[in-house]
Amino acid sequence: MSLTLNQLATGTIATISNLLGDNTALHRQCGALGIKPGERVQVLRRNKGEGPMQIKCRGTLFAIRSSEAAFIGVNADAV
Amino acid sequence: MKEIALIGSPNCGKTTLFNRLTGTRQRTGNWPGVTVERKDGRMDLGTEKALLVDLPGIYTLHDDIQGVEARVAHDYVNSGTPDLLLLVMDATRLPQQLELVPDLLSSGIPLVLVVNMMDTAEAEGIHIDLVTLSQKSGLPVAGVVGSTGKGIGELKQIVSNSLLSYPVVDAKTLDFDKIAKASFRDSPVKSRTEKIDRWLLHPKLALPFFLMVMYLLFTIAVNVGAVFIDFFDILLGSWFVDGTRWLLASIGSPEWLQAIVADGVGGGIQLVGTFIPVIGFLYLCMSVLEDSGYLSRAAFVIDRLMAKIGLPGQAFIPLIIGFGCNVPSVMASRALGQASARLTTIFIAPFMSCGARLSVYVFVGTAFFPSHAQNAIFALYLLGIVVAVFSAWILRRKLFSGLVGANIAEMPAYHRPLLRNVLMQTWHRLYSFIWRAGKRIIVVVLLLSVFSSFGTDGSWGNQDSEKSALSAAGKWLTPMFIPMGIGEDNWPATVGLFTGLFAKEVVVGTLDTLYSPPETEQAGIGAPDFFGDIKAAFSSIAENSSGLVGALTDPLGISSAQQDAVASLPNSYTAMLQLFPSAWGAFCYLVFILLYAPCVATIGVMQKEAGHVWLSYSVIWSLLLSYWLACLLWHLSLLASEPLRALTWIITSSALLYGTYRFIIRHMKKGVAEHIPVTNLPH
Repeated sequence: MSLTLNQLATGTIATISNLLGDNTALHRQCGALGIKPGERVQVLRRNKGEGPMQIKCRGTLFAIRSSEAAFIGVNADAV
Repeated sequence: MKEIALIGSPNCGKTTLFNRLTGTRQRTGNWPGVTVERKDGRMDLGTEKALLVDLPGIYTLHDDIQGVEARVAHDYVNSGTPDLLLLVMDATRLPQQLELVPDLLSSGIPLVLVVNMMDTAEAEGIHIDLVTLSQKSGLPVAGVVGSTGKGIGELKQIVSNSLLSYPVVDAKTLDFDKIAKASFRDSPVKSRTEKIDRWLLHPKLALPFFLMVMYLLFTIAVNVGAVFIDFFDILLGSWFVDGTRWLLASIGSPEWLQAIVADGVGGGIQLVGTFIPVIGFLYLCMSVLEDSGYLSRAAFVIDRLMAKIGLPGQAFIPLIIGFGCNVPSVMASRALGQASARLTTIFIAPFMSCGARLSVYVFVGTAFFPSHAQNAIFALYLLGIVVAVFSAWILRRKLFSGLVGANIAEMPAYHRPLLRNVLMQTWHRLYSFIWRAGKRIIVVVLLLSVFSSFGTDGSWGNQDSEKSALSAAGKWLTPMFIPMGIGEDNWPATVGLFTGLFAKEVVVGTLDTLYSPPETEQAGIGAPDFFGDIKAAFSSIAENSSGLVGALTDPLGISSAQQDAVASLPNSYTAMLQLFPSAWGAFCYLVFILLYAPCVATIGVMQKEAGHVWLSYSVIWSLLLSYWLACLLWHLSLLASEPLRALTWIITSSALLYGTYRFIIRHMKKGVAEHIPVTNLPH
């Protein structure tokens, strides 16, 4: 099922499918940090509503605003 | 001598390794044309010595998302200068860190992979296979622990060998995803960092812990640092100001030379010196927080609040420090990656009411509203915050409106901070402040002191008297300030605005002297009592530290500053009370003092960090805003007695301010395009 990163519940592991929107700054930053299609990402922590999320991708922890996580398309892994 | 470059992502332990490899044989400077720090050091390889260059931390070479730093690294690698590249990688993030390898290989320069923080990886339960990494990539690999020095000997051996002979590696034949999978096995259980985060980022506990850390940071930097301010003040004043004047007087040099050298240069050195303790302690705390990995967590906790004014979470720290002193506040904003966030933070940092301004509030406040001084001071602090938020909001709406953010920040694994690293880091930053910002501060002090010493009758040595050129200018300009309620003959208040540019606490000295009834005493210039001054300098540390306990419950020092003012009850109060038309007029004056312009030290660092174009926008912005606001407040009080005049003034000035701001913002839009890399601007 196709979702965006900000829709995942805490603890979920998913695979990044594509980067959405036309925010090139965000896309480039994702690319530089290795948050790319095909990589697996885990949601470690999320706040209600607008707050930032903590995610783990390839062993590295990241803070990302949920408004920006909305531009990262993911496929939830089957558990 | 062979040149070797250290390259790697931020937080990979590059600096620790650099310190480990070079010891104390380091030199810092800037990369040509930019304010990115460059560090060089000598590395002893046994048979020969090599020059080790520390490159800025970067994630990628071919993208300028990080701005100038990536460009600096890119240009250096492609310049062909280095004989060998050491790619430093954090073992806990190996797959991500290997991303840089293809770019580096394409430069054709021999490359050694250094896997750092092997101990942290082990503690986190991560398995690293160095042999597989070396076999699959065909590159020399060294595993090290930068913090303890484990594996450094082998690394040096590999470096020596690679300088002699180096395998040919074709980047195209390598698949780094596969290599990463083969050599890196993540821990199946929760890592140590994730366990600590469970508490430090806990939904309920995170905020209290964050507030505690901020409180400690503020207390240590501002209050502990303040213990040593008098020490530098007395000592440097004794040597550079009094000593120089005595020396110049005794060889019979003219008074103008004394004014320039002793008061200008000497006074400038003294002023820079008084900032050393607070800035030093601040950098110390910041380095510890940075090194431990908590800084990025703090940003995470406060992110939601900062997002509302269009700033990343990291911007909170510079702003809170601003309540102590604006100088380190502006300097700390350097850590913000995004140019728009950095510029906004530098822009609004001076509105945070610093400790020096407090002394002015107390001095004036105690005279005019003795029983409500606390409330008035609190209102001023609040007003500063409101103006800062308002300015940030306008900048975001009007200037950076089309700018879309990318606020993904890496959260490094927790480490125990290394004393050696922390001290080295603090020293480098402090040194950079003393030399680079210091130079600018001294120039401004020199100019102002010449004006305050030079008399209208051509004589010198007229500081804080009615005769100086500065006082004359003050008298001439006083009519400009009548609309904010300072009173027609209140020229000392105007002069205070000028001397307040030196440092805000100087306003107190100026007002005190100029309001005091004139005394006819002419102190001769004797030899300063160097030994007495040294003793006084040291005893000031003891005295100030005894007051430290009280500071823990009153971090802004409001009540202790009040006690000081009451205890001395200056005889200048009578004149001051007469010259200001009312207590409200005095409050309007304080509002102007809060906002009108940062002190020369802050101006110096703002110019260094943001450039003179941005600095002038900021100064013009705050001058206009403070003038409008102070006048508005004064005219509000006139509404009852002279409604027509007051209303006309309020409406006209507001319309003028609106018009000017629109003009400024249009102008800023053009200027800002040169400041921010194109990638960051809306398309």
